[in-house]
Amino acid sequence: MSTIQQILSQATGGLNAGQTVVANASRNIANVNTPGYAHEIVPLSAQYGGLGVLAGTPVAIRSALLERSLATTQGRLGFHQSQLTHLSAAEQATNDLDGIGIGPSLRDFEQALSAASANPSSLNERTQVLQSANLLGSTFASTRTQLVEARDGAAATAQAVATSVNAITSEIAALNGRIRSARPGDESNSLISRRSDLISQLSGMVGIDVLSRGDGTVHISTTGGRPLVESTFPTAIQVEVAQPPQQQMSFSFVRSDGQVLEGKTALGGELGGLMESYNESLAPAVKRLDEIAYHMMEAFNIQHQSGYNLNGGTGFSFFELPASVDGAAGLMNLSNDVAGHPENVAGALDPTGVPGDNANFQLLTDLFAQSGVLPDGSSVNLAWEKLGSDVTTAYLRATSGATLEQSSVDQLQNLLASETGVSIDEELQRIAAANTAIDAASTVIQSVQEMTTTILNLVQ
Amino acid sequence: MRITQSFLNNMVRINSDRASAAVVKTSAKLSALSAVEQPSDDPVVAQRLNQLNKFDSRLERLAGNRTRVETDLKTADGVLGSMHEMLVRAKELALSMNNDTLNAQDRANGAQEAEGLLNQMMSLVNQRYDGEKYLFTGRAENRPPQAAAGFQGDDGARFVEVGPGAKIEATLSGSTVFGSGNEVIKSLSDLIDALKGTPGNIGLGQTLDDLDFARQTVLLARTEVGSRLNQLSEIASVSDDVKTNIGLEKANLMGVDVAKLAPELTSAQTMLQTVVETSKQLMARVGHAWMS
Repeated sequence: MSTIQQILSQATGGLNAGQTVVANASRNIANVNTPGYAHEIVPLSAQYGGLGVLAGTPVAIRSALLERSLATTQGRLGFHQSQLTHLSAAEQATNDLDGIGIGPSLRDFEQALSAASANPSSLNERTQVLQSANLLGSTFASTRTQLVEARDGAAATAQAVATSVNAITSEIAALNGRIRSARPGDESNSLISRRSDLISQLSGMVGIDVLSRGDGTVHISTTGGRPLVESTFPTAIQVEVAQPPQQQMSFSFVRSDGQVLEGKTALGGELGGLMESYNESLAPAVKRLDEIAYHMMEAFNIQHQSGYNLNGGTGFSFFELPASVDGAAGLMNLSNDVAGHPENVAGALDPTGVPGDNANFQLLTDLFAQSGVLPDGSSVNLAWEKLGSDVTTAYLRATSGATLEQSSVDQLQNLLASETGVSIDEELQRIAAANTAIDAASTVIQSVQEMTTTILNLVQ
Repeated sequence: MRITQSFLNNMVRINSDRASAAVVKTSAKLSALSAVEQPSDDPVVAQRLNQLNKFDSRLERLAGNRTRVETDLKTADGVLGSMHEMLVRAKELALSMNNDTLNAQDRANGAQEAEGLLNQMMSLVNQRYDGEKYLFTGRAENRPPQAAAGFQGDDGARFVEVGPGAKIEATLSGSTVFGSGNEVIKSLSDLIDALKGTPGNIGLGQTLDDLDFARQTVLLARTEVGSRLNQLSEIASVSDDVKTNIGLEKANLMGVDVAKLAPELTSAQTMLQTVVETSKQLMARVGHAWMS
């Protein structure tokens, strides 16, 4: 038989448990839109000795499996998505369909040379040749500027992402320390929620593997196995860009003790994507454009020098050949021999046929389609088309990869939201149930009070 | 499956993103000038369009070359026609002067007319055309073909590409127009000498034969020019057909299919509207649950 003391204890326990449940449900509702937050429940248990109900420490409902899958998929999504902006700009630069790129300018130059071959003694046609060559030079330069902007934009974005990664890993390492020493329950759960959100952000940026430890901390490493967060120690990522001719982006890891580790395996996430687009597409595109420009000018000059101008002179350069291949696409200028001197354009091959011989004009017209102009044996036209096609292929690969991974991320986020998110309906039900329990406990306490009053009145 | 608030948020976001993207994409396709504006829109079609643009541009430049050559040849044809008429008149003159009843004054008058014809011919053939070049000097276009010392120029030929893989000679050499020994000009000089009675002249009878030969030489040159103009016309006809086909193929590849896209846009807009309405109801439901 229960004593009044036991009845009061049971009622008080029920009252406390109800209040805890209501407080917990309120906290869940308050954090319904907090990134990384997992809904919490309050475990209720019977007190020893039949002394009523006991509310335990709130437990966050998390899914390690889904969180890990989401982190991996977000890494792949970030990898593809990060490439889109810069590759799209590069595709725009190499697009001939808009009628203003290098392809149309090459055709205009060919047209001017061909027109001069039909009327080689005309100064007007020769002037057109020089104007078209100047326009071609401007188009090469502007295309190079656009490609360089896309390339350097990727490098700048990579630096910014690395800075964010380093800030996040530092915060995660600090959170590891706080979580380890935090009291279980709300305090610990809040810190874990924050860390979970940071890990989600980090996964998109760099591609990570996460390992939970028994002490509440997490060990984070890149998908290539390099540690990023070890207990409370973060490792910083450094991005470096080598100057030409290498023009490669690389990275290294700087541990908290100052030790520098070379990055050997490819990174994932945005950083990996930016690095791949830089090293595999954007920097090679700039380099290839310079090669095309340099070797085109070189071959054109050789052919031009073997021809004769309107006065029978020979050996004139057409382009001012830059000192090196690097930057050549931005330096396509007419030589002093022909700039302002249309009569010096060497259209004839036979000195006795001047001014009506057009044989050199014809050879110059055909030069752009001629194989072997570039060191790899390709023609100027083919090399340019291949460059554009390579950029487009890389862009399409990134687009299809991003679409595919976005779909997976959406599904995983839905699953995770379903499993660990806050349902307002559920929380309202819990509040209603807890209110009922509180009402019941209040009734019991009120009854005990009435009983006690009655007994005291009887005694008096 | 638990329906949580973040799950609902995700669904609203994903569906509205997809529906908005569909509307934007379809609208962009409808408002675009071309169905393929950049290679990534359709790499295969883009590659074909680039090939067609390249070939089209080549046809255009060859058409420009044809116009240039045709202008020169038509000018030459006109000049040769005038030369032929002068030679016909010279022969008429020679025939009328080859008469024993004519006196010295008549012959002097005839000689004066013959000199006029020669001067006309010299000024005609020694004229710069397009203000730049002389015709009938082969490739030496900067020199008048006829000088005091006789013909000057070369017999070299300039070939110009006027169709894909088709070249045509754009120059006329002096020997084609004036004869290998400059007979056309010489026949008129001989006529003048014969009429003037210059010592050592070949006589009017011989000049008649020479004028006939000169006329035939000019006729042959004119025939040659006509033949080239015909070739140009045939090449132009074929090239125009090819260009038309290229234009049609390009139009097919680039054409925006409004009939197909309009219903797609309507469908995408309906989808977006549905997503917005559903989202509003979901949010209202959550709010209502919360308030009650």
